Amino acid sequence: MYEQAVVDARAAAERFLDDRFVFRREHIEIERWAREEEIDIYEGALDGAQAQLIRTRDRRRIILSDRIADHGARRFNLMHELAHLLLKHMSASLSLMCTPSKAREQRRGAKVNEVSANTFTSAVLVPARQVSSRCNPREVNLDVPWALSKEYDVSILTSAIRVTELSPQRCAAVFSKNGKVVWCAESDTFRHKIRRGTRLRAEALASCFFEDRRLDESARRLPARAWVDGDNAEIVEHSTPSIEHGTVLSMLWLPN
Amino acid sequence: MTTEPKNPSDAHNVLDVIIYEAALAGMENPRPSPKSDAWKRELLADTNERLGEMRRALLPEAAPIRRVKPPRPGLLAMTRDALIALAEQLVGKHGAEHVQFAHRDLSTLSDDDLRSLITHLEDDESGE
Repeated sequence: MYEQAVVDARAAAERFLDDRFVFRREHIEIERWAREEEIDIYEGALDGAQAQLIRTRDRRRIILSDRIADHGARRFNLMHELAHLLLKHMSASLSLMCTPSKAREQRRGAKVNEVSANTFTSAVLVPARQVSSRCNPREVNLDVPWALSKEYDVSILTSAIRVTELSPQRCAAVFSKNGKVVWCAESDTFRHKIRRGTRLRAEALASCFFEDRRLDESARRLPARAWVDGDNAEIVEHSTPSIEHGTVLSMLWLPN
Repeated sequence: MTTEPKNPSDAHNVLDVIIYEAALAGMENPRPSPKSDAWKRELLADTNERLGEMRRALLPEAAPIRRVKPPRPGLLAMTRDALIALAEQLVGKHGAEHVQFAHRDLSTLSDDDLRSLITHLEDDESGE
């Protein structure tokens, strides 16, 4: 179900970029696109979400939570809500929106629209047509995600995921917190699954951060077993922590 | 081989002749040369660039971001159940098929989020 939603959202993003003749970074103008769709943008307290879209017969509004301090995150949230409107996603019922997220996630398909809007958003904010050629470097590490993050004004998490989506190399971006995997985005060729909720192995550099809040931030070659099973080769890990959030982003690469 | 336009002053006629001659030349030498390929790419890029400029000129300027209006005092005293019921009632008035909600990273709508939502729906109803 998610796979098809991702394929459809990517195709929709390409059409969107074609329609707006987006060739270069400066052509990505989210606020003007929102205005073209007659959307009013608001900012305010929003406890339960980062952003909200409210469309009625007469008005369209996007409300951004004033908890979002990061500019890249604001852009992502705005585009994400615009994606829901453009992709004509059906709303969840009010009573469902008022139930805790854990209970809501158990409903089959409840997250498809979110996956679809996220995919559309990252494909528009970091367009494949502009960055694909940079996603196949000689050595995969966090250098390209850092560069794209600055250039395209998105978070390092968004750019790292985007690199794994577009890279022909065997790589993955892993986000961890409290010593466990929160999510992992693998490239099509990675051929391993690093599951959400898995505890980081002691050999992984990222695990050091959760031991003593220190982390070697250079790209390092390790035995592949530090991260994956059934691969005797080496893996390259390049990790960076967020002291503020107590998280680590790791870019993994299995050189051929 | 060349063909004289029947009426050289007629721009369409001249264009027809050029296209006809180009087609004949293309048939005689169907494989594009690197030079013609480069010309084609350049022309396409140039045309797209101009179309892009025209398309972007149609975009309205970004509007300033506004602050969310505080909820009316009557909403502050309402319980969660009452707030949900009122929000559902307003959705019904707007017509559920015309109303769309979406959230990013939704945990659950708090009471204040519901008050804010109701404020927006009431504003739309009153045309404010």
